[in-house]
Amino acid sequence: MITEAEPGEAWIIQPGGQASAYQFRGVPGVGGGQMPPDVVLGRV
Amino acid sequence: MSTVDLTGRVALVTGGAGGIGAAVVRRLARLGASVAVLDLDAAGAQRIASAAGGIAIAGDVTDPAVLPAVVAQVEKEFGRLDIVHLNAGIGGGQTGIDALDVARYRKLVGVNVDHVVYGLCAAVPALRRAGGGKIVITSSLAGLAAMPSDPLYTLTKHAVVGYVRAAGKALAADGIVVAALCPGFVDTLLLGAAKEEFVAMEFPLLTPSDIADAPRR
Repeated sequence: MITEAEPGEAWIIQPGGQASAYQFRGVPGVGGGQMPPDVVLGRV
Repeated sequence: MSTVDLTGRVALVTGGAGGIGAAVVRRLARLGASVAVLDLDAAGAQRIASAAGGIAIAGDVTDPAVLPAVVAQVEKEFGRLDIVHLNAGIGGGQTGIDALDVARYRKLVGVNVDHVVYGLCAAVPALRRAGGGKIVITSSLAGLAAMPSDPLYTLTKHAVVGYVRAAGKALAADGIVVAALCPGFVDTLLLGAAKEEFVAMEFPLLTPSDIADAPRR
């Protein structure tokens, strides 16, 4: 897992199965679909 | 199974004297990495480190001065740091939702949350100097789902997952991968007396090696 993980992933490991990255659901945004500023999203 | 070659890479594992941490140390060593084992249990750390051809460091991860000093020691010893597994953790031990043992709570947050923050902040400059790297943090299934028997443990493990998700995005541009491990119930000392219940109902438990060696689906 250490060698294969991607940024920000949370890996679930259960008996009898292989590890897999948890798929987080998004949260509702504002009406109209406008996104917050890039500075808040860590894009700058 | 991964066939990655970590020869020439240097790793640090906290809580490496037993359980998941010791299994991770063994896996990293098998892949060729030089490994530093940090644990409160000095003798245990020495035993695991010796078997892995690494070094042992005794220290309390809740002390904000310890992880910066350990990272500096590892860089001095090996010349670089590439992989950090912040694995040290404890159970909540909560006996009721309103039965707060403040000392126990502070220790829980100290090990499960503060240590992760101290470790990440100490490691990032070293990983940048190495040109990038990986930080893996042991959370739990309780970091994604509620564990009603231990809300405080659930609190700390959710905190870890949130921190990983945010820090992972923030550090990706530096070539630093931050990720969390969320195992189900693992056969370690953390299970405590509950282990008897799991055994009685023949509930499948993970082994520490299952965690360390888990291939990606």
